[in-house]
Amino acid sequence: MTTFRPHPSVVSTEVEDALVILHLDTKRYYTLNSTGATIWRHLTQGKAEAEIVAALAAEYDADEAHLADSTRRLLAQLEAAALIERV
Amino acid sequence: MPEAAFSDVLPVKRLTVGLTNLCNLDCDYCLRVAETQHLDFDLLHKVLRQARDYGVTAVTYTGGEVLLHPRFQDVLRCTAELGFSYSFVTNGWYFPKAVPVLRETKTALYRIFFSLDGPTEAAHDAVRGKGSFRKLMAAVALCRFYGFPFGINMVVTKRNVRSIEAMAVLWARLGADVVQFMHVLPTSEDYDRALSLTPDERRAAEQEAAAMNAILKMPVQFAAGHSMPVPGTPCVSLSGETVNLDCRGRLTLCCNLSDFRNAVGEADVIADMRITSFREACEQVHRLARFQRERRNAALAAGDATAEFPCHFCIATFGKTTWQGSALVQLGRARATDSKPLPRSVSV
Amino acid sequence: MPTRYPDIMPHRDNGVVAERQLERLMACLPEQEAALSDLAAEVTDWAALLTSAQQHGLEDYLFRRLARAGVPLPNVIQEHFRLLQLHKAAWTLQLTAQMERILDALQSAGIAAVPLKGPLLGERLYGTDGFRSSSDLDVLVPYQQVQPALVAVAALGYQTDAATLEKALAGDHNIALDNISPPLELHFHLFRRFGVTLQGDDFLARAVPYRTQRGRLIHVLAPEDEFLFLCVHAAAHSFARLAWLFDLKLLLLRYPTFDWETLCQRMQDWQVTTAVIFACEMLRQRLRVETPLLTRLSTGRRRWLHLNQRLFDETMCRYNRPRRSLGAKIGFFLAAHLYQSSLHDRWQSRLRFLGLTVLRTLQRRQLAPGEV
Repeated sequence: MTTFRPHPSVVSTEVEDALVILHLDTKRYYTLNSTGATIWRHLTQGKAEAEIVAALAAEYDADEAHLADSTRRLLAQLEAAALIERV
Repeated sequence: MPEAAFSDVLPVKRLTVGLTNLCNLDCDYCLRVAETQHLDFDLLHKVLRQARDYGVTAVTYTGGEVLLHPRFQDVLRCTAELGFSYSFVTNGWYFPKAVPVLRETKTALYRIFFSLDGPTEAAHDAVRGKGSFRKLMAAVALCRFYGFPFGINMVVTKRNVRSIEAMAVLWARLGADVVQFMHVLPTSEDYDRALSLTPDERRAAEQEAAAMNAILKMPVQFAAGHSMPVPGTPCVSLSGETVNLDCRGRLTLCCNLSDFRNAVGEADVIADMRITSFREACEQVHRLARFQRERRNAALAAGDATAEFPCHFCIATFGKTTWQGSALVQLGRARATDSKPLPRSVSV
Repeated sequence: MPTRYPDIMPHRDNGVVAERQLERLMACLPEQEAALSDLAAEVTDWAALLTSAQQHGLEDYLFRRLARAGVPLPNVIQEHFRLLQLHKAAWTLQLTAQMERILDALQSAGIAAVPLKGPLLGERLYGTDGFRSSSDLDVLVPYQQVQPALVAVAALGYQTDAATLEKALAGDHNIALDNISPPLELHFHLFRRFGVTLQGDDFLARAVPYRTQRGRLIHVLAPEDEFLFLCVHAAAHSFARLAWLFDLKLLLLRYPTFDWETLCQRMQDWQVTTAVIFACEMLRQRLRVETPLLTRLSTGRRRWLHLNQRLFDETMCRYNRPRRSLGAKIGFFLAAHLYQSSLHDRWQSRLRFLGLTVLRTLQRRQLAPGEV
């Protein structure tokens, strides 16, 4: 099971319906929409990818395959941006 | 002079080069990924030699901020030595450092383009930070003093669309060779909502520029991406005349699509120039250029409104607007939102 | 960092309608949010209000409250505010993280340090209601430990040179380390103005513990000391930012057991009574906050406050008018310096300040930091 965690140099804060993430080393900052912010929260709680998808399926009324696909894509983006790292 | 691989594309005459994506500023509408990636000088040198042999005569350097490339002066020198005419785009902050090499290579210098966001200090500095306008004006003064030809580039957004006339008049007075405008290409939903013009507003802006062009002796134009609701060849990238070398050493279709912030698609990236010859890469670019022209023509015929503005069409079809469905979007670099302070003194 | 003074200083007579509206709106926050809708109905130029709020460092707090109160905002304003908010969030994250690193470094070096103003004050006073505006970080360390403190923060990249340090120690209250971002002002005195030096050791000794949102235990100024410091700071910069007065308002709300007697005593001990009283008067005028300090002024104090007000009004009016003619420049110069001198507690200090002003003017030099 793939598990990620936030990069040690990443900090975040909620702003209304979004999450602002800042990489302290590169100083690049990003926003996550509300779905992305939910995934991020689960990730920071130490959930593996499959567990995140299961949690989303419980929260959202959406097809689980679609949620899995979205989650995977987001995790890939976060990893590419060095915002998360594999545990 | 090599024969064109396809009779309906023009021979490559110009090379745009993304020298670096490092910049000292953080303009909100910037297309580029905010990183520190410099184009390898030796690779550039190799590509330039091959490009010259292929018939390229002109090079335009873009960034990031080109003057932050650690070997910027060597870049200009070797460009001139190889017989090219060159231009570059700059925000003006570090311009004085470049003056000696510009004087040295003046016969090869075609034009310096300064990026400006409005005709006043307040308008420009609001985007680029306190001091930017003055730095730019100082750079322009140096150009006037040394006789370096220069032009002005402005990305047109909701913020500055009403200042097209003022920009044109100001820079005509200050001796610019040309004022060029370009429609903003959004890199996130937030910026799209805050900055992008509607199609009607874009057309109106283009008409304003055309009106100024008719009045002034200095050309005032939309450089690329302006409305073209008819089939054809809308730009020098899709005509094949210009190809782009990005800061990672890859030949791509167009500098506007290159290193696009928050993009996923890289279909515009053709070849790694470390392992591909310039000739071979250009042939691939030309194939892509023809394909994209035909794709746009087909979209127009099908009534696709986005195809009217070629740059917007290209960023959509080349996967540069994946932020539209993306949860994660990069907005820029964190910096102070307050203005820089005045020197300490007992003022009030 | 020294404050950047706006082209038009805030003043009731400066003709900036948006600024008056901003004051009225902020005056009813946080406790009378229900009144926002009615007041917001008076606003016709939302762009001007947003600009004014941003200049005063209050756009995030105010516009969040407006949205929460259901005030309909034009789309273009909402979009612009959204971007401002996201930028500010990122910058605040940057500042907060850097402050943690600085405090870590100082703690590792065994140096007692207290953060001033900045994001941690925002965390304590604004909470989740918005991001406080800050362009830099301020930290107070004991005077005797400035050198080791500089060594500690040098590991984070903050550099200075011997000449700058010597000059700062001779006459200033802090040393500005702005070679990297975010800039840091390392205070070795709490503040220095109006002829007094607020020596840091005394304030450090009274610092109180505070646990940050991230769970870190730090020390911050005692509420009365913080109030005193913020008043003196705001007065020194002629109340250029409404956020400084709003900080005072929120601080009083945050500490309902605020000890006014203690404040009065410390004001007198440190000879900053005039500046603090004037700050409270500004708080009353601009944000309609009544403080016990103003209700128990002696006749002499009340008269002096009246003089402060007149000189302040004169200075602001002259600042806000064109100053092209020699007469206008001289008029502003005189008003500004008389106003500044009027904020000193003691006559000797006032006269010294004015005398130095004349001397430095004749020498064509600015007053040094320790001379103001």
